[in-house]
Parts: sequence; structure tokens; C-alpha cells
Amino acid sequence: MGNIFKLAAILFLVGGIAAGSLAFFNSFTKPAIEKLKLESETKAREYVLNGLVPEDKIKGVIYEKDSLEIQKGSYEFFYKVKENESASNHIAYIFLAKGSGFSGVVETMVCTDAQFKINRIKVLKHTETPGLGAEAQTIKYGDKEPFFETWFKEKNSLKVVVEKDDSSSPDKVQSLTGATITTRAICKSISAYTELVKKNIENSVPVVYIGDADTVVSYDHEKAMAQQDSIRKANAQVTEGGK
Amino acid sequence: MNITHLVMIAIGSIFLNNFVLSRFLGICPFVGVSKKLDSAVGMGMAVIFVMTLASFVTYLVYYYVLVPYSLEYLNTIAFILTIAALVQFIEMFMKKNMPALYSALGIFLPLITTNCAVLGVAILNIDSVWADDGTHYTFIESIWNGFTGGVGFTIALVIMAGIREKLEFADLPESMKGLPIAFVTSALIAMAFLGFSGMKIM
Amino acid sequence: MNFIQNFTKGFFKENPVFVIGLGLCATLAVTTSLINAIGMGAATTFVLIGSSVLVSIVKKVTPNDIRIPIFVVMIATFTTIVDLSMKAWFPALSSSLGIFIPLIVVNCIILGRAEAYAFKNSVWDSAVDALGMGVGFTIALSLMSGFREIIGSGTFFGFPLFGSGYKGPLMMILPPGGFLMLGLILAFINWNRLRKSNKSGGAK
Repeated sequence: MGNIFKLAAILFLVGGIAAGSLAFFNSFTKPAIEKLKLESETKAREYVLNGLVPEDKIKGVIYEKDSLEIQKGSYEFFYKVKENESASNHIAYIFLAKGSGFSGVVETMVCTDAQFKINRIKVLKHTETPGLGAEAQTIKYGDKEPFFETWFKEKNSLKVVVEKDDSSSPDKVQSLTGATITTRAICKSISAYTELVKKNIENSVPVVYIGDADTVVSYDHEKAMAQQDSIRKANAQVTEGGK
Repeated sequence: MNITHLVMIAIGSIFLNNFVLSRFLGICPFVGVSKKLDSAVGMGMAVIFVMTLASFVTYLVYYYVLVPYSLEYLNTIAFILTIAALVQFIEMFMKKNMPALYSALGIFLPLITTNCAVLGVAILNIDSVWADDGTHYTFIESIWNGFTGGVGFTIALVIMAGIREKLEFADLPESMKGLPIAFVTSALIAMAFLGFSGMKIM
Repeated sequence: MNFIQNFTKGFFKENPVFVIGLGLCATLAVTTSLINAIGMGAATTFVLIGSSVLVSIVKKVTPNDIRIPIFVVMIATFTTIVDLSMKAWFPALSSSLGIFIPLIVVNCIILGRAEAYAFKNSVWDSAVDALGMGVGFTIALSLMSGFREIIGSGTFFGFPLFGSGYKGPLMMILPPGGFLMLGLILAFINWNRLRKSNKSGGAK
């Protein structure tokens, strides 16, 4: 019996040393991993914004975060972009369109101007088949950006559609070879999310909070909705009071 | 309990993303034990049992021990020790209390500790996120994933064993005998399972 | 066994994948492109060397009964170090290799070498053996992925070999292709071995 305790104690000790050394190592890698995550989100936004805003002004852009009601009770974010602090109009909208592709979710970052003309898209995440749907991210040797993304430039994001589904539309996009389902999923998700963005813009309620690209602000939905409600009520009172 | 999720997990782990033929987890026992149908069935049963139990225990360890103390990075060590201890206890328990079952499955149990499929399913349960609502797998979904993953493994294993038993009588070139033809056969079975991809429930 | 023999035995004669038959899960899964293969090989070699050296250092004080769990804890520690390092400094490679990085801990090669060699040999010999086995594993992975990438995607390290319009058998970079390639390589090795033994056996 005593032997078992001794063995268990040794194993415990080894485990403890291992855990301790990993905790030490983790303290080095954790900040790097967090920073990478943040950088990739900011980088994706700057990537799709490229072209609408001149290179030297891109760091000074203001992103207003607002919510999209995807389904009853389920919310996601999108960004309204202002050129700088003092600008009064939004020059672009950036949102992450998600749709079911062939073998999983496809996430596409989309940037449109205020009239919903697509500036640039970037397929961020997918689990599609290599060589078929995964070609959405492939950069051909010698090119600077994935060929798939260039097909979407200048198209109307409300009406973008696969060529096979509507060959007469001016906003049609040819489908990837052997990956019509993937292309269709991306097109449908872009148009669906644009509809939601449009709805949000039209029911124009003052924005919930404002921050620049590097601030990660936590979103309290209850508080935000209460804020919007009270602003709406205040506006309604003003209108009535003006009669 | 989201029945749609459970159905998707079942179809996913057995057909679409079969643990052996698509995810490449559990290859060592797959080629090692698939020579005879009886041992294949025995190994399959043992794997289903261990994978289900491992999913159960590793879920609890992760969400009730690692996460509350922000020790997620220790999950590799914690999981592999948990699985090793679990298999050890199962073996001791079976030897004493279920001798019949032990004689059928027992010899395979030590092999299962270093089976990629068991640790693989534990990690997959933690990492997987649902596409439609962004949530992680729940407790029931994790256990179900372990169970159906094991079932998928067993189906692939039994198919292999059936084919390999017949191959014993085939006239093969000398260099193909043994492992090479086993892998080429697996390639064909994997190709057949590829035909399931794109299946949608909703 | 001298240094050169110890180091190079892992390359071909005792290649962990093709001859001993270990580490098959990783060999099939990550060999869709050469970059993935070499990254995986490097990660595994790091864990292999680290754990073999550590096992050899503590072999005198390790109680025999619980040596396997202790080895596993040490291997798991090195695996976690590799996993965290890749997530922080090589994120692209980390996401292409996916769960196979934490699965290095159950790669039979590592536990196999710890048990069969490092536990019974000096620190230096264990380190050399581990390095040789690691290189052998990387050679095996590179061979598999070289063929799969060239035939399946028409590229070599991402550089297109047959022009950008190449549409080869996609099957090679999908799961069946992995099995097929491994089977064919093993068949070739068998054929080679038989040919050599026939030659020497049939010599009059």
C-alpha cells in the first residue's frame, strides 16, 4: 500500500513540475496569441476597406460598431466606417457574412460603400474541399490577391448572384469550377447580410457605441437595447412636442 | 436538447467525417487488427466503449477543472492522463467483475490508450463550434460524438476486416502482400465514403 | 554503434514510418503539401529530442512501475510547448496542421523511442537517435507529400510546376489519395527489398 502512495506521489510531483513549466511558458505565448487575434481582425477590416480610403488615411478611420439581428434574439456586429472623427457621413459598411457552404460554414468579410457597391471581399474561414471550394482563397502565382475576390468588385451587394442562377443580372458572378454550391453560399450570404445592414441603416437609430479599430469593447445587449429604446422615446417626444 | 444537432453529429461522425477514413484518426489499430473479422469486432466494441467514456470524462475535466482556473493550455496533459487512468481502471474493473467481457475486449484496451482516435475525439469535442449558433458542443453532444465516432470507426474496421479476409486468398504480386494492399483497399473504401460528402440534413 | 550509424539508421534502414510502421496517422493526414509535412516533421522532431533527452536524464531515478505515465507527462509537456509556440509564432502552419499538433503526444514513435532506446542509453546517444528518427520521419512525410502535392495540385512548395491551369487528380490531396500513396510507397519498398534479396540469393 505504501508503495502505491509513493508512486502516486512521484507521479503527482512530475505532473506538478510539468504544469508549472507550462504555466511559465504560457505566460510568454499568451500575449502573442491574443495580439495575433486582434491583429487579424483589424487587418481583415483594413484589407477590405483598401481602395475606398487612401492608404495614408486608413489608420485614422473611425469604426462604429452596431448590431445586426440575424434571428430573433441572435445578434452579430457590423461596422459603419467614417473617414475621420469629424466626418458626418459613413463612407463604407463592413460586415462578416456567414453562410453554409458544401462542408461547413464559409465566413466572408465584405466592405461596401454607402450605396452597397462592393469594394472588396475576403473569404476568411471555410472548410471547403481543397482544389474546389477552397480555391476561393487561392492566389494564383504572380497575382496579388485571390482571383475569386476580384470577381466581386463593383457588384451590388444586395443583388449579387451566381451566373448559373441568373445569367441576365448585371451583378452576376461566375462560379468556381466544380464549386457552385460554395459560390452560391457566399453570394447568398452577402446579399442576406446586406439586407440586414440596409434594415439597420433605414431604421436609423443612434449608434450604440463608438470606438476605433483597436478598442475591444464589450457589448451588453440589454443595456444597448435599453439605450436605443430611450433614445427612440426621446425622439418621439421631441416630434410630438413640436406639434 | 437539440435533436438536429445530434442527428448531424451522428451522420457527420459515421459517414461524412468518418474518424478513420476521413480524419485519419486510429490508423494503427485499423491496419493492425483488421486481419480477422472477430478481432475487428472486438476492437471496435472496445473503441466505442472507451471513446464514449473518454468524451464523458474529458468534458467534465475541461469545463469544471481547466476552464474555471484558466488552465486551458494544460488540456493535452490533462486529457492524456485522464484517458490513460480511465483505461487502466476499466481494465482492472473488467478483469474482476466482467470476466466474459474482459476475455472478449480486454486485450485491446492497453492499445487504445495511445489511439489517436480517443485523444482526437476529446480535443474535437472541445474545439468544435456549431455553424448555426456559434456554441460549443454540450455535454450530451460530446458524449454522443464519442459514441458515434466509435461506431464509424467500427464500421470502417469491419468493412476492412471482411475484405482482408477475402484478400488472403487472392493472387497478389509479392510486393503488394500485407500492408500495401491493405492501404490500397482503404483508399477505395475512403473513396466510397467520399460519396457521402455534401449530405445536408436541413 | 558509432555516431554516424546511430544518427542515420532512422533515415532508411529503420525508418519509423515505412519500416517500423509508427506514426501513420500523421503521415496520412498532414501530407497534402510539402510545407505542412516539413512543419510537422520539425515539430515532432523537437518533441522527440526533448522527451528522449529528458527520459534519458532521469532514467536512473524513475520508478519502473510508473515509467510509462511519467514518459507520457513529459511528452505531453513538450507537445504543449510546441502547440503554444506554433499558435503564437507560426499561426498559418498551426491552423493547417490543426489537431495533429496536440496529437503528437500519441504519436507512437515518441513513446516507442523513449521506451525502447532512451530509457536504456546515455543522454548523448538518445539525443542522436531521436534526431535521426525525427529526420527519418520528416523524410517519410516529405516523400509522401511531395508526390501528393505534385500530382494532386501541380505545385511544389506552392510554386506551380505545370502552369496555373493544371487540374490534376484532386483525389491525391483528399483522404483516399493519402492511403493510396502510402500503399504504393510501401509496395515499392517491398519490391526493392525482394529484388535485392533475390539478386543476392540467386547469385551463383
